[in-house]
Amino acid sequence: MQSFTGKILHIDLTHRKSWVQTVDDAYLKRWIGGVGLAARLAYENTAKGADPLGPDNALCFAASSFAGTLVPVGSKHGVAAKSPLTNRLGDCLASSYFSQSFRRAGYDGIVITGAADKWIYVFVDDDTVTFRDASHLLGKHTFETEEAIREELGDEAVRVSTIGLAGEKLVRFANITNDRGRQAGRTGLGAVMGAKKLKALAVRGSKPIDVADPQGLLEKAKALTKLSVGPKTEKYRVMGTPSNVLNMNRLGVLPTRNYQSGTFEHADKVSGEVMLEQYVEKAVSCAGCSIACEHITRVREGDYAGARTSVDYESLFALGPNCGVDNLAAIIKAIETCDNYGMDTMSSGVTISWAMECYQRGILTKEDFGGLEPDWGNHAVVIKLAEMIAKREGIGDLLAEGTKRAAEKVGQGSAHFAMNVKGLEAAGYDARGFQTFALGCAVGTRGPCHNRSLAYEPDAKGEVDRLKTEPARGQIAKDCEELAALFDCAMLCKFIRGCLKDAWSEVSELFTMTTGIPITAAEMRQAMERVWNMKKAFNIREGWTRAEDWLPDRWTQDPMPEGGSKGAVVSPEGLKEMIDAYYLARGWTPEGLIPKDKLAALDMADVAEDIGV
Amino acid sequence: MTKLKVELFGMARRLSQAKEVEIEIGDKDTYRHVSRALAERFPAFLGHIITPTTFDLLEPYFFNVDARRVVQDLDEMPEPDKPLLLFFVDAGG
Amino acid sequence: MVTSKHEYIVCDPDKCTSCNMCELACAITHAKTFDPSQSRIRVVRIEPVVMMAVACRMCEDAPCVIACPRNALTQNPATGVIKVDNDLCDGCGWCIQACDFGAIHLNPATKDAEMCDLCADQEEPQCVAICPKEALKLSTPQRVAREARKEAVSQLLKELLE
Repeated sequence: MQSFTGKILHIDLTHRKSWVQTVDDAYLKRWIGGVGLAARLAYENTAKGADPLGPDNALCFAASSFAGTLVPVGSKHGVAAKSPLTNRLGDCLASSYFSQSFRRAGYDGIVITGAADKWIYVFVDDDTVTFRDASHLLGKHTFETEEAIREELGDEAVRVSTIGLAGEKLVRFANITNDRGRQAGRTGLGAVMGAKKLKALAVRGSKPIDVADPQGLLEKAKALTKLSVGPKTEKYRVMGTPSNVLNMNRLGVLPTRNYQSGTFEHADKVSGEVMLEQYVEKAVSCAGCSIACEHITRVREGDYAGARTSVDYESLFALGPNCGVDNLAAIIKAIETCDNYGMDTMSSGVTISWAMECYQRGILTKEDFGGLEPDWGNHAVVIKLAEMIAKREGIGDLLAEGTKRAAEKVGQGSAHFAMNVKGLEAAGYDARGFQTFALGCAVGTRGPCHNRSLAYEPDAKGEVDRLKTEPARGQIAKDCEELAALFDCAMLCKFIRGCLKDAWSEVSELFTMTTGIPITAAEMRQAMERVWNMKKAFNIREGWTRAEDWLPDRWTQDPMPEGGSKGAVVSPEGLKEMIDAYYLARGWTPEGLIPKDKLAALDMADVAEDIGV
Repeated sequence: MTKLKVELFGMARRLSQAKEVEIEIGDKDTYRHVSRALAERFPAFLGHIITPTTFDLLEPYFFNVDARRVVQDLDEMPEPDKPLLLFFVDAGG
Repeated sequence: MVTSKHEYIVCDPDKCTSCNMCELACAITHAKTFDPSQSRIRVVRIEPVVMMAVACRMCEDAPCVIACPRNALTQNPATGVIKVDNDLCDGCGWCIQACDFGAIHLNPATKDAEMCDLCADQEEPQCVAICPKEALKLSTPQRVAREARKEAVSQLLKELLE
């Protein structure tokens, strides 16, 4: 094989040792890379029923065959482990120099098991693995940790994936940050690192990456690079993802005040347009990316002067309109706070908004908040709460558990508006206004995720009636999930998807050009179906039942009160029908389990025993 | 002639420096007439949002009628009593 | 060091996004592998918004040529391109020290010094060809200044007309 090395590095923190496992072409062809490979490694290396915050949970990094080559927007890596937020599979991806460096160290995967007895960081220097004291790094922000390790090791070429204070404190939605602000953001994998007393994974890779067909790849990469700077990506390049704010608001799906509405009356004040005019310093890119969507913003004056971070739509919605905040400078400060401590901005925002609604309804009081008054739009309190979560101070200790556990503890009907599925907080699209996506949210293996599901696209593009359910959405949701998986496993940024005429055949061709492993578009489709079933099998092994594939009550019971989706609600009967249709489309049983013949057809019969078939 | 309100978003808003515009349409005019009129009013749209020769909307842009219905065919007749959105949708971040 | 009359790879730091595609294009062109440590152009990012790519500036009376104790480096008087004689170069690194721009490195595979040759075998420098932001171009300081003047005056004109 080319590009891939067939080497999986295992690091056992308990015994401070490491070894290399080899895998063959057939294995890599089955799991492709990225999220697929990471999920498979997590399945193989995590014992059934493992405590996500215990030593038996394997934290797995996986490469893609494109990272470090000239395939544009292809320098990414996958990360997976059992999620402390969902107790199911948590699968993430991140991008940039870390993704390249980790491959250049010579590995397709890194599996970290066990737990250290005191705080350490691991340095993978090509073939050498060392375990280094991290006590001096404790409490440091993510970006500071990265710089401190680079300085300590004395080489700019060292790339670091690290946790901040939130990960150390086992905040259940702590993330893993690399290259300043690139994050394996969701499902709390930073807490998995924290539980292992692993502050950071530093990598220096100095090996070349050879591909099977350099000439062919170069031609294809150049053509794709040209396309990627055309009109199809202009919105990302000019305004970045916050260009979505006004669009989502107009459709009535911009989550506002903890999803009580889909229309924010001050959306004009927090739009991508205002951000660009007043706060953007520069658009920068991940390594290997021709688009450059990352808009670094800076607040120059006022109460939040000095705040500086990159702003994406998801972070903006969660800590902005969703908390009633109409002050963009404050939103930037809130995002910066989460980024510094290493917490998922989305889960942070949606958990804080849940607490604010509890306050609105008198379920939680000023005393519960230690004297703070979290009225909608009180941005100083939103920022303060983010900090208290990271430190687990006061009510922050409760909120650090996420909406599902917090609502179970607080009770009094607060679960009705705890906006999570399986424990993962919802994304920036009210599912009542995107009902194919509602199905995607209900059945998603990691929870309600726009990036894994992609099913908002047929809704938003008008290919279906977005305000109603119908069984035909089952097949659509499945197809969307597999297309998303293609980008997440072969690993291209989804922002280039509009530039591909036929994603399946083009990505398959690129995969063969890098690896030399022949794969047809049809085989690639099957591999993505296999990956989705793998993720599902992980969950079934952990005790998943059909009852988990459902939506928060707010979406199935409260009609949208106003705006572009006024009156919409996801009818429980309609949702059930869609879920039935989805299981049918997937070839699963009516209970949503994978039958033995499906496993055989996907060449993954080895998991049969684990999942009881 | 009636007037059709067109709301602009994202790049369209940026290139035109306008949140919305009114386009005059006759009885027989289609959405293609609307996109042509927009391109005449804002030549900067050409090549970025609107194709110069056919006045088709370039990907990822499309028309949406009052947030409720996406226009699938530019040769349809507009509904002048409802605002038309020059739109795009992509999630991410 | 005297800044050059020769053309070299100029990077506009406002346009550069530190994507490192120039490094990868250089490495695959010269070393036939994707290995940025064999790239003759290097992206430097002083976090988070200051960044640019640096390559040989084809200095006149190039200090690296003068510094080489084995006379392994020769400069083409017409183009300014500096050539390393691999038989003479012993990887001592004097040229690297002499370069104020850090534009020379020892190739980790051959252990010889190397620097930008403007892609002598190609139609155009491949870093310029791939750069998605058009941040890189082949130019001279004089030409860069001329273009900057023109840009500044056009901007003034635009403001006057508004």
